[in-house]
Amino acid sequence: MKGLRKRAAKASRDQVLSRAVVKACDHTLRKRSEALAKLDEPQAARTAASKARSRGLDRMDDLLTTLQARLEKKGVRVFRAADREHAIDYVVGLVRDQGLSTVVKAKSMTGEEAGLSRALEDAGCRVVETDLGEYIVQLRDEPPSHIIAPAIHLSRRQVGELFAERLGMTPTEDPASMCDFARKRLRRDFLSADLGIVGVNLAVAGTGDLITVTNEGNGRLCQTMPRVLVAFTGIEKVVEDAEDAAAVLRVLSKNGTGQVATSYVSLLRGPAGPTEPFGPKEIHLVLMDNGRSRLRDDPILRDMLKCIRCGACINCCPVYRSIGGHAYGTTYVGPMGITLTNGLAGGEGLGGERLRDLGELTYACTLCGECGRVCPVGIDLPDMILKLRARAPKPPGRNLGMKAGRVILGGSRRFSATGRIAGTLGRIAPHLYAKLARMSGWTRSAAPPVPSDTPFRRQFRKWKPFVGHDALVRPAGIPAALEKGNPRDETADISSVGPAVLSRTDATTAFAEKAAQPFDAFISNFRDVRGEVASGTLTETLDNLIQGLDHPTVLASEELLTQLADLDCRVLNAADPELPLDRASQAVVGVTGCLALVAETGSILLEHGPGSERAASLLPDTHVIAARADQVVATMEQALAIRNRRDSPAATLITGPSRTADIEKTLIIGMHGPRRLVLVLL
Amino acid sequence: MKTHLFIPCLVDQFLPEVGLATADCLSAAGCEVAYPSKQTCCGQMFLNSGMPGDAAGLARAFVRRFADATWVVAPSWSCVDMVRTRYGELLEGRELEQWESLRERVFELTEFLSLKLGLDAWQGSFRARAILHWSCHMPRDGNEQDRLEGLLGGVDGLELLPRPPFECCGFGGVFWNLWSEVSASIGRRRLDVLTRDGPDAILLAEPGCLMQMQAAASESKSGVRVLHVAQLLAEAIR
Repeated sequence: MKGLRKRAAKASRDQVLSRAVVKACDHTLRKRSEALAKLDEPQAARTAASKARSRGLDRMDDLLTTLQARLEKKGVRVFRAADREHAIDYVVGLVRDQGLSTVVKAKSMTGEEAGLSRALEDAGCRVVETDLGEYIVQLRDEPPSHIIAPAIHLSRRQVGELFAERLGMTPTEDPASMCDFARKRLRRDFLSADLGIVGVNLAVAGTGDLITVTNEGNGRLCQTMPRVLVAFTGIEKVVEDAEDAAAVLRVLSKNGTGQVATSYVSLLRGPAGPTEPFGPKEIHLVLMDNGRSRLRDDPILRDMLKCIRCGACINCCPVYRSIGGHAYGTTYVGPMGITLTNGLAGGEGLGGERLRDLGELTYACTLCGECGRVCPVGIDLPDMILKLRARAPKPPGRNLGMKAGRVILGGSRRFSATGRIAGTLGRIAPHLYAKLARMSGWTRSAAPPVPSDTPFRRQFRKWKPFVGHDALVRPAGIPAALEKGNPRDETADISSVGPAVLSRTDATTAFAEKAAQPFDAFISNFRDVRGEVASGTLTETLDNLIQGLDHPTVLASEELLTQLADLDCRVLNAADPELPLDRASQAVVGVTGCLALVAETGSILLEHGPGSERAASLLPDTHVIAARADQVVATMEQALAIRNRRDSPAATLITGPSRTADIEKTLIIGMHGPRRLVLVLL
Repeated sequence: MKTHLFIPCLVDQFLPEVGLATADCLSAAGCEVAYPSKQTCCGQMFLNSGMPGDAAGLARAFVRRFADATWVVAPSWSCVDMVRTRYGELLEGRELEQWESLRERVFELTEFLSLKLGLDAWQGSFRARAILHWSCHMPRDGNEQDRLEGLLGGVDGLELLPRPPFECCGFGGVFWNLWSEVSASIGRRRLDVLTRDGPDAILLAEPGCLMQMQAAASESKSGVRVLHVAQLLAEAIR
C-alpha cells in the first residue's frame, strides 16, 4: 500500500502533529503508571482481567444467548447484526419508522467501525457527536485520530480557531472557556434530541447490565434524556458475570486514561419505568459481528477479541507517536489497529472504506514490543504482528529483494564479496548507491550506510589478544558464576499473564484486605478525584450552596424531601412523573441518596429506578449525595454485588464530578455533568 | 576460557570497530577469543519480514556453525534474543536438539561479562557524561539495568545521566528498510530526548540502534558521540 507509507511519511514530517501527539501520549502514560502503582497487585489485576475476557470469549455464544434473554425479559430489543450493513440498516430503519430526527451520540468505536453517524446523516438525521473530542473532530469533518482521545492531534490553538470559525465563539486559547461554550451548546441538544446512541464497554451476561464507561457525562445524558436509546456494540464485549466485569473495570481506566476510575460507569439493564420522568422508554441493543466470529476462529488473531479498547498500546507505539492516527486510514489505529484491521473485516468494510493492502499495515511497527508489555489483558501484539507478516502476501518486488538478500547471506564468501562491491560503489558513486539500495528494496533511506572497506572478518585476522591490563583477569580462572545461571526466558514478561498467578477470588481478597480501614480509604480516594466532603448537615450544606442565588431551584430525591422542607428555595421532587423538563433543567443543585460508597476507587453507587434520581444526579451544576458511613464497601466487586441484589433498570458508579481532558490533555472539571460533587454524611 | 564471537551482519559490514571492541573486552577479561569465519547472519531480518522459511535456513546454519562452541558472545541483544527465543519455532530434528543446549550458551557481551565472568564493575577510565539508551530487546527488569549500570560504574570519570524514559529509537530493522522516513523521524525524536541534558556520549548495546542514533546525531550536528558499550569498555582500558 503505497498510499499508507506515503501518508505516514508525510505525517512524520508534521512537527506540530507529532509534538501534540507525543505530549498527550506521554501525559497519559505517566498517569497510567501512577494509577497502576496504586494497585497492591498490578500483575494479579492484569491476570484477572485477562482471564475474565478469556472466559467471555470461550463461552461467547452461550453468554450472548443468556444476555439477550435477560435483556428481552426487561423489555430491551436486541438485534444481532451479522455485519455493518445489517447494523446500520437496523438503526436507520428505526429512525425512519419512528420519525426520529435529532440524534445525540456518545463515543462508540464500534459505531465508527460501522460508519453509523454518516449513515444516519445520509438518512436525514441531525447527528451530534457529544464527546468533546468527537465533537471537535466532527466540526472538522475528520474521523477520530485515537480510540480514546479523538482530538489528540490538535493543539488548543487549533481548537480555539475551530470554535471561532465554526461556532462563532470569541477566539480563545483557554480550554476551560471552550469546554464551557461546548457544554452550553450541547446541553440544548441533549434536552431536545429524540434518539440517544451510546457504546458499550462490557455486556454482563449474568446480570444483563450494559456497562458504559465515560468521563464527561455525555454518555449518561444520551442514555437519560432522549426517549429512545440505541446501545451499539460488538458481540465480543460480553463477560460472564459482575465479578468479571469488575476485574476488567479495575484495569480499563487505569490503562486508558490513567484514572483510578472514570467519572461514570453506567449500568443499564432496561427501559425507565412508566412513572419515571426521565430515562429512555425504549432501548435497542445492536450487537454487531462484522467479522468477529471469524476472528474467533483465527489461530493468530483470536486474542484480539479480548481487547478492551483502552488505547495503552497506541500511546506507547513509536510509530503512532510519529504519524498520529489519521495516516493509518483505519478506524482502529496503532498496534491494536494493525491487528484488528487485519482480522476484523478481512480487508473490507471498516468504516465503509476498503484498504488496498492490509499486509503493508503490519509493517507500521518497529517490533519494539512495548505494546505487548503494556496491554492490560495480556494480548501478545508484537507476536501477532510478526505472524501476520508471515501470512500476508508480499509485494513481488520486495520478495525478490529479500530472496536475493537470503542468497547473499547463505554463504560467507558471497556475503563478503557483496559487501566489497557495495562498499566500493557507495564510496565512488554515493547517489547511484542510494538509488540501487532503494530499487533493490533494501532501504529507502536517503543516505544508506556504506559497508566498510575492511569488514570485521578481515580486521579480525590481524587482531591481537588484549595485553597490558591484567587487572581484569580473574586469578582463579573460571569464576563461580559460571556454574550457575540460565539465560532468562525473554518471553516471560508477556506469557506470565497466561497461566494462573492468582485465582480471581484471590485477587479480590487481596484488594479487600487492603481496605482494612475502608471508610478512611474511601474518603481519601473520593477527595483524590475532587469530591468534596461537607462538614455540616444536609440542610446546612444546601443553605451554603444556594446562598446568594436568585430564586434557586433544588431537584431532590423523593426520599430526602422531608429533610429539605426548611430550605429557602423551590424544591422539586425528582421522582414526580409530571416533572417538566424546563423546570428540572433550571435546578442548580441536585440532591440524592446512594446505595454504596466504594473504598477502592472513591466511587459512589447510585441506583436509578422508579422514584429515582437520574436527572438530579446529572442535570444540575452541583450534585449533593447524602450517605451513611456504614454504606462503605471495600471493592468494586462488592459494590456490583449490591447492585445485583436490586432490580432497578439503571445504576451509575460515580467517581468525582464530570470532567474532560480532550483538549491537550488539560483537565477540565465539569464537562456535561455536574461540576461539583458534594458528599454529606448523615 | 574459550569464547566464540558471534558478530552480527550489521557489525561485520558497517560497524567493524564494535566487533573489535567486543573481542578486546573478552580478551581483557581473560577469555580466549575465536571467530568462526563462516558465520553470516542470525536470520532475524527474515523472520521480521514475514519469511520464517528463509530465517530457518540461516538458523540451521547458525546452529551448525556454533554447535561446538563453549560460549557464544555477541554485541547485540536482538540477535541473541533471536537465537534464544525464536529458533525453537524455526528448527527441527537434529538442529533443534543442538539448539536446545546451544541456547544456554549464547550471551550478549555485557551480560556475559557480569553474569558469566562475575565482573561487577569494569575498570579503566573514560571521561564523559553519558546516557544509556535502553534498546527494545534488552531485558526490561530493573535488576538488568542495575547490572549494566554497575558494570559501567567501575569506569573512572564516567558519569551516567539518569535513565531516560523508555522509547524505541525507531530502527526496527525491516522498519528502517521500508518505512525509512518515519524511522528517521522517530530517531530524531529519540535523539532529542537523549540529548536533553547535554551528554557527551550516548551509549547503546545494539548495532541497529547504534546506526540509527549515529545517523540522527550526525544529521543534527549536535556533536554527541554515539558509542556501543563495548567500545566504551575497550577504550576505558586502552
